[in-house]
Amino acid sequence: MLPAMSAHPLHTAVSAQDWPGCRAVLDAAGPMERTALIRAVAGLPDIEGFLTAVLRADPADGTASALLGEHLLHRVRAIRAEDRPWYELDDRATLTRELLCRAEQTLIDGAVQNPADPAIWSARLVSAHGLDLGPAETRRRYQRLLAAAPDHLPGQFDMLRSLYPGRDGSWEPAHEFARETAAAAPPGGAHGALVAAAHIDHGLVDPDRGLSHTEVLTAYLVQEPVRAEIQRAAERSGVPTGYGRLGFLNLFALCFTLLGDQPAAARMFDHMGDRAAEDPEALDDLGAGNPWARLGDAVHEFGEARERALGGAK
Amino acid sequence: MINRSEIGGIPVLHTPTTGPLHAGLVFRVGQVDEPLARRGVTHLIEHLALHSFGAADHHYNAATGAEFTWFHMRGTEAEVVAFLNGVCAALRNLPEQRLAAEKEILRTEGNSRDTGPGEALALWRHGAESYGSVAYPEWGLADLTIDDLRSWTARYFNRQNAALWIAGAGVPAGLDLDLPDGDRQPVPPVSSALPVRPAWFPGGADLVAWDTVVPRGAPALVFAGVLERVLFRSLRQEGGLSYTVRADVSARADGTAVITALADSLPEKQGAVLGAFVDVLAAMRLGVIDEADVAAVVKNRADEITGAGSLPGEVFNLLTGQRVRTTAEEIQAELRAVGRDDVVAVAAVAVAEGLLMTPGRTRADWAGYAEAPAGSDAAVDGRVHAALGYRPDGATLTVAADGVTLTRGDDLATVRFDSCAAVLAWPDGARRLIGHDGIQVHAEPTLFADGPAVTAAIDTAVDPGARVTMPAREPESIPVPQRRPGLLTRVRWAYIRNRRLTWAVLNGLGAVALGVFGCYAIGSVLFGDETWNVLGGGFFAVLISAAWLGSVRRRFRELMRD
Repeated sequence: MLPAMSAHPLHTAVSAQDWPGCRAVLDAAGPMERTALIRAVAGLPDIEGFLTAVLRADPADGTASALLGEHLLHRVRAIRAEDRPWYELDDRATLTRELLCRAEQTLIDGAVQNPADPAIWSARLVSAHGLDLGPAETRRRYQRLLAAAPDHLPGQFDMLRSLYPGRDGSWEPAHEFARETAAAAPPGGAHGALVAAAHIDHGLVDPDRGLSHTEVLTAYLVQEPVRAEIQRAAERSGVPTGYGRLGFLNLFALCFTLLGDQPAAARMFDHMGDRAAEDPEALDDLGAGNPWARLGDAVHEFGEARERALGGAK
Repeated sequence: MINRSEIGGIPVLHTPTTGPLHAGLVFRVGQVDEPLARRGVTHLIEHLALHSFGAADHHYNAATGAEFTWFHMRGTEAEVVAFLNGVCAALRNLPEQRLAAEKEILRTEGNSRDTGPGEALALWRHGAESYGSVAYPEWGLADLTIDDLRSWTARYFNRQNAALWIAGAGVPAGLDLDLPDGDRQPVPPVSSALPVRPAWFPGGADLVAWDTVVPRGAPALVFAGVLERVLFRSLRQEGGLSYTVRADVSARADGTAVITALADSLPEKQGAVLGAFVDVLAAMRLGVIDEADVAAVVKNRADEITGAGSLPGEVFNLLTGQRVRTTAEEIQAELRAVGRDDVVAVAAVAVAEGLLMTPGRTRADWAGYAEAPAGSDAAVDGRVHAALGYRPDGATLTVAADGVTLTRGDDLATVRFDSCAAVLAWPDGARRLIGHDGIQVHAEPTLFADGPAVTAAIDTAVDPGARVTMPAREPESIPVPQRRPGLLTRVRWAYIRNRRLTWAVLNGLGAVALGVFGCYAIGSVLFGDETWNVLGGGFFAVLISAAWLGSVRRRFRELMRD
């Protein structure tokens, strides 16, 4: 579980360009925490030169390859999120393609030297999607990820997202992947979160109809098959004990809140303890984005839902 | 053990073996020597030389390769002597009466021949000359005369340009190999159509292929074997993506070796086959090579070496001035001396010089490969002939004193007359120019303004030696300008191309119209004498129009994003 990232020793070490310090933190983390930590610091500014130098000194350093790759992929996302006025030349496609190619080439070399590094294969799922390399290549990379680390949840989230349909496609493959992966996961894992996340993303895929996000998502979630599947996923998973515990609890808390199932939501909030309420950044330990932010102001939405659930339970 | 001797000035390599005699007469001439407009001349001569042997059940065969042409025979001493002396006699005096018939046979053979990935790789790497000309049809057949053939045999099928190998009890008596005197012909310089390497180009949907050029020798041989093993493991055993996975080496006369690797694919798996292939090449480039793979390949290759098996290869070496190895042990020792470091060194060069053929619509820029040029950088400066009729791509043909350029949209194809490998000339006036870089300009005089002037300008400027006469075309296969389609059709096409944009624009117009109507209604209440009911309706219309415009704006944004 991540404390607020800016106070994290990894954040400090990357900011200070202290590579042995970075490695000390990352090498001590479990595989899934390691991938999540790498992603959490990948957005720090001006680290490309630093990481390139690290890789030049030791081209076989898979951690540096993964972090540099993720950093470049983060910049791609940042450029895509930029809003350009319509009268300015839109060179975003060229810029992002160039960054994606550089990320991919860093990751190709990293994967050759470290074929069993799940952080690299997870990043290569993202770059395959961005470069439009097709479902067969994405599937191959996912197989390589599974061979390196079965049940690697951060990469499974990337695989899930790459199965999201474009315009007019079918969501069924994504839901099927979420269901199957969650069912195959070891007990105590947070893999059920895939099912909830797929439904939330599906429900919000076309949100602008003059309704609030909360209303749109609620209307989607209350459909009987969706509700049943979320309920089943929560029951089957139990309460995760390790990586992704808070993210899992929040995703399901949100679903149950919108479904009006206060007792179930209250159980989720209960398991979170009090720290979650104080530190909203900590809610996102799956690296999948804070789900409450999808409804509006994350702190406010979370606080209100928690109040309602726990207040109602009392 | 290989013994060297000579028969009438022709060098002979002999290996003692038991069983029937096996011999091969080899000439240092092949497709790479042929100018594009004379493609097929060597092959035609090879056929004429064999004509007299007919369909008798002799075990002979002959072939025209890229650098060498050879005549092989297996049989008794007398049969071998009769065959080789007969070939020499036919080469000295080509059977002129067979010319037309053999041309027809070769045309049929060329028609049924499949071109493989090797030809495409050669074309993109070398263009339309030297090692790239193997990729082209035998265009020379139509215009070749017996005199052309005689001057070709005088130059290439002579005593100084030939060598013989024999595997058998001994060199048979009675071989006189009577050939005219001449000169040893060096291989032409290797041409390149790839300004940047490593590079990629798009190929067929069901195959990933790759080739490279490295210094020849045992390390290159071992590297190719290692590459094949790693590709096989990754693509077939682990990934289950390919059925055929292969890597071959062929030595070249200039001291290099070409390594070609390929992996087949189902169309729906092409992305994964390419991805896995690229990963294997990256492993080779970075020297991530297993010692055990090197050892296994060295052992296999060394075990394959047998006494007589390498004879033809050594004759090739002899004819191109490379070192001739005389014992199997010598070759085996070279192989066994190859270590992992040697393979790593070759691998780095190999990947850096590589050319990748990607399947279908996939690309390889993301993996660090440059796009091989499929067009020209510059146009010639001359008279512009506009396309006749309806051409949505707005094609133009520019003819200058130094060359021609076909422009289609942003794509340029330029062939300069001083680097024109061949011009195909149809009797109806159509011309196709093929530049040394492999870029083609096809000029149909019926499709461009003042087309006959284009034909005339090309015919005066191009070297007559580069001209290839093509057979007359059926009148219906000569293209005519496309009639401009009716307004309705063009509107429908434009709508199909921009369906979403059209709807957004129509929606926007509707919303604006509704807004204007609303404002007019409000105005006519405030400044005119309409009743208050109309005011309410007006406000309502403005409101709806605003919401409508909002959704249109969002739709436009989505359109821009896509």
